[in-house]
Amino acid sequence: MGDHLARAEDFENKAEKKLSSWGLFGSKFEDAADLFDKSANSYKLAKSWDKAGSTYIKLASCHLKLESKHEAAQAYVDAARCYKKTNINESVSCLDNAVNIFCEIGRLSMAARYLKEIAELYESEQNISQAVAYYEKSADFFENEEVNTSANQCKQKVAQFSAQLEQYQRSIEIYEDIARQSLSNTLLKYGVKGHLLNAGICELCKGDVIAITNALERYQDLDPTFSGTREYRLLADIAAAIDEEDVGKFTEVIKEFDSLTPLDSWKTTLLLRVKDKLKAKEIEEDDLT
Amino acid sequence: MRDTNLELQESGWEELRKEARKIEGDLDVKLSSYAKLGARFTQGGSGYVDSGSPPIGSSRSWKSMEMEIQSLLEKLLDINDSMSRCAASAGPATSVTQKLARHRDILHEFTQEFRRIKGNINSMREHAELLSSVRDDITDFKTSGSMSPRMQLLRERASIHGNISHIDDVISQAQATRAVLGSQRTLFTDVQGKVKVLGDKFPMIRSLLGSIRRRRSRDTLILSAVIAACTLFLIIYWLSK
Repeated sequence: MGDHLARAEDFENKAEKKLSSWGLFGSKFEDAADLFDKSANSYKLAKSWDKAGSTYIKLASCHLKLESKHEAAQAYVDAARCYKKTNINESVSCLDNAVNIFCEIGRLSMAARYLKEIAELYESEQNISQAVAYYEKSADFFENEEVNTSANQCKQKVAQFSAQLEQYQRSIEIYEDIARQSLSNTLLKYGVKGHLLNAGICELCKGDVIAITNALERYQDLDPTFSGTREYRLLADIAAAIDEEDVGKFTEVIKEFDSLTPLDSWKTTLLLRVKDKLKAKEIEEDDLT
Repeated sequence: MRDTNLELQESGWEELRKEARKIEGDLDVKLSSYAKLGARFTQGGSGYVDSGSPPIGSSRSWKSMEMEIQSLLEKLLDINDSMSRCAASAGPATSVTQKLARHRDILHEFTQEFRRIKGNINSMREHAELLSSVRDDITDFKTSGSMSPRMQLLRERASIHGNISHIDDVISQAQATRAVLGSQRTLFTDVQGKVKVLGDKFPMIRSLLGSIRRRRSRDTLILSAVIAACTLFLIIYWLSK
């Protein structure tokens, strides 16, 4: 451990000396890059993540001066991996730099992958609005490169977090779009009712009974088999309960569905919002009478 | 004077470290209690029978424990910052740096654990609140009704649908991989015999070409210097002849 740290500092000092000197034959940036790489490796072995990250950033600067853009981007990615353990903000800024460089050299697939990684970092930090923004960028890039599966995964994340941020219309559009794409694929069409259920729950959160009814009719047009599923039955019964403003019926319907198919936490959160709104309306009605 | 300062910093460091270890022990105990509380909440919530009083009591103690853990985490963060400043002012010492990194790792781990347990408890509480109702007879009816063959068939169908969803995920990933492999095969067919295109597509080969170009320019420079030196020598020799 201490031995690795001493060696790392030695390599870093040599690299700095090489940078400040004037070389007639050979490139000083190339030699400094080699020394910085060795230094960063030793810092990682010594578990000094901050110093490893800063050394990788210096390595990236050397590669940029050598006009080796791909190596510079790779160095930024390595720096982000080191900073991930200690400093999330630095990690995100390094990945941002890597994404910019990959865009310059036209490698959009790798840019999309690292945008997704940034979004996952923000997700783990529970910064949902930033996670949504980066997932959206990542989905755009994946779509540009015709990698639709990864794009749809990112879009589902955008829809999920948008619903948590109460941007229901956006979630609805994304889920319906994914459902339409899945319908045209013979292998994926059996998952369509899941996407339509998610879209329907977002419609319920908006609280407009007429919109819910129109949405259900639209889903039947999209997928004729949807009207025979339990998901459709759940949405229709909840819409009826909301129309009648009956909290007991609402709870009964959800309990019956949950006894067969347990609801995940996202659906639970959204349906709880619907129930709270319904309760408030019922209490208001009681006060009026 | 310097020795006095060093001694003061040393004692401050030891005090901070002792306090950090004490708080870490407290956090460990409280996180275990918190997790047990979450497990008890799960068992309490699954019955739906006595949904009146236990959520209120559990919620109250759960909230107070959450605030306690939160304040302990903040205090530990402050102490880590103080230790960091002490280490920076004390000068380069490997053991101090390692201990500081160890404490920082422990704080990070506790924060992640607390966040995960809190998310779990929130999810369970929302689930119980969504499904709770004032009508207990409905609960009894559903409990008795769940033994009928129709319910069992529906549950079976739901399980099969869940499996189908998982299979869909795997198949879509396989499809994506197949598409990427197909495009790679097309790429390899295209780049047959085209070094520049190869260099554009594969960064390693491009970096190799870049290194070759740099070495060649360096060789050119060396060759020019040698030729210039020889020419100069010839001229001098001819003039002195």
